[in-house]
Amino acid sequence: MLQYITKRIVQFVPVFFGVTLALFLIANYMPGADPIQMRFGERTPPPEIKAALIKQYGLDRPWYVQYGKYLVALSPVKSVNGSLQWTGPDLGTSIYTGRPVTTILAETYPHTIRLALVAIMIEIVVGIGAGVISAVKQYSIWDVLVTLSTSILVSLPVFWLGLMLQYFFGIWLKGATGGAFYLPISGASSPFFPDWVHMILPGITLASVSTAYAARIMRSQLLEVTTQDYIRTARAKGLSERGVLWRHAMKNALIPVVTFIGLDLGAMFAGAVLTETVFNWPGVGSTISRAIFQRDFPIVFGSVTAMLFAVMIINLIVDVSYAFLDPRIRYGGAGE
Amino acid sequence: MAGRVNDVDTEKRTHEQQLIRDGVHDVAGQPGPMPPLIEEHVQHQTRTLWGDAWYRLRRNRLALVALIWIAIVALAAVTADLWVPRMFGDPLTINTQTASAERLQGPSWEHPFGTDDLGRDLFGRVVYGARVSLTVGVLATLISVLVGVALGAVSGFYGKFLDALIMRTTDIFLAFPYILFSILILAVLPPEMRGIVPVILAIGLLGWPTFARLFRSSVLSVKENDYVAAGRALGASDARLMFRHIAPNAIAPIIVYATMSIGGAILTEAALSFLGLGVQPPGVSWGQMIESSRGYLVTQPLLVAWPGLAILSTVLAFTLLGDGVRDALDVKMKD
Repeated sequence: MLQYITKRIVQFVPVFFGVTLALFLIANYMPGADPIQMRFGERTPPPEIKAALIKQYGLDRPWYVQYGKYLVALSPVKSVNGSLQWTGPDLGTSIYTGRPVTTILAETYPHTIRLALVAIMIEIVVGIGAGVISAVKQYSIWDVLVTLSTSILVSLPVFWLGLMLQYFFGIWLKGATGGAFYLPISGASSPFFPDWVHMILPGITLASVSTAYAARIMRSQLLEVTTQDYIRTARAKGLSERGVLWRHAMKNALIPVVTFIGLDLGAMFAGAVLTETVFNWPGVGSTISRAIFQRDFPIVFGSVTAMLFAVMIINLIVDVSYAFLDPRIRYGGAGE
Repeated sequence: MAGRVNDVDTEKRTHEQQLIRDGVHDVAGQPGPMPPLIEEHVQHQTRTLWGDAWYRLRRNRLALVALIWIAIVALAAVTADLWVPRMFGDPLTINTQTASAERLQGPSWEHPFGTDDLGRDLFGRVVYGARVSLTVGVLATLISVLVGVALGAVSGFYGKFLDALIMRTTDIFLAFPYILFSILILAVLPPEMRGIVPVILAIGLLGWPTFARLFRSSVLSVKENDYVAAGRALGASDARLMFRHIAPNAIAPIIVYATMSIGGAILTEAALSFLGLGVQPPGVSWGQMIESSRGYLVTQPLLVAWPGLAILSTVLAFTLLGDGVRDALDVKMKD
């Protein structure tokens, strides 16, 4: 197992450098990318100030020196006056408000994580549940229903699903019940509803695609596992169908599903950009889309960087915990 | 026909095959009963691999419906300039004379989908939006396929260092949802450079790793076949081995995944346009239509509903067609 974990961590190194290099290249060398101009937004800096800034930020140095400086800026621990101190990563400052991007992230991230947790709970309960039902009752009306709705869900634009839910549960239902019953469609809190009610529609929207995939994987895994010999043995021993399913089949069928749910957190961040925009959810996602419209590039760049780092770390944790979950890896060495 | 050629070894035939030969003779004009099942069997024998796949695809009703729907959308998109402006008015320009009177209308004979907030016909706009979506879907996938197949071929055929380098690169790409990277790349671009071309390039150039991996693994399995070794022994060049012997037998998973990923590219384009990073007004795309009519959700929800239904039906069609192609080509793929 140690060998497996070491291998995963070693594999993490090129991913880290690849991603930071890609980010660095996008920010500095893409057509339209001008690090000085980005600090000025729509205004045009006077040429002498621009020249001075280029010198100050070292933008006339070779690319590898700049890349090195970028990595240092990202590092949460820096040397201040000769001693190492925890300063937090430097992700730049917003053009419009002048506030550090890290401060903005610290305010918005908890909201995004809260929403993501709700979505993951929906994904686990509904996704696994629907997958199990459609596998156990294969070819039944329930199976057809699950297969059909998962196909539709993965073909839906997430933001459109959000808008349609807003219309039916926030606007149409309000009109139909004369204002007696409806769901909030904007923001994370209001005087009219308890906070958790605000999470229902955005939670469902964010969970939709992942839930559909989780259900599909659960179904195919369970169907595959139940054809294996040890399941036949368990049945031959006289175990009840329920015992076979929960004690034997689920144990193996769940592993790929759990892995999928873990690795899918990255996709959930991408979905959060769209979902939060639709529901005005005060998280990182809506901050990104607002910054895109305001052309506040440091916020877009810093927030996406933070998301990519979160994805990287989560992937590593999922990979390592996989070793604890799956005895075939725990006892089998390097795996693959 | 096949029966006549094989007449020589009739002795060796099983009873079943004998029946088939008889069936063929019946087709050739000799009298006798001809069970339809046998005729079908004969057709199987004379079809090529691709003909066989097409035959199986046609018998998959869901895939056939999907194919017909894609054909309808594509035809409407390609011919849009010929009939849309004449029947429904120009969907891109605003008629300042009639805009205030015609805005936010419900469906009618004149405007089957109603009109938008600037008095333009929604049906016409949805048809024009199909041009962007299909162009992005097809071209972005084409770029991904070309880059992915080329790198996958190098990776699988030559192995060693190049293989390791290319595969580690795909690791990096696949570790992240590529929409995050495309948001970054497109957000850097100044607004006047935004449009359909950067979107195609971003989606296309970020989508190749899956194709590279698929093609690499099928090249790896195909190149162990005896006929490749035979080709090599006969002195065939690497290029000839690759293009004549390996590629045709390794391409099936690529075709399946490409079909599905056209739908994925359409979804990504819609998302990017929704964030204001795609086609800019007065151009029109489905995602951008949804973005610009969000504010009318209360007064005229159809404004948001139509482009969304267009995306849903088209993407679903590509997914179902992909499933059908997978079954027809008998490719095994994970969910």
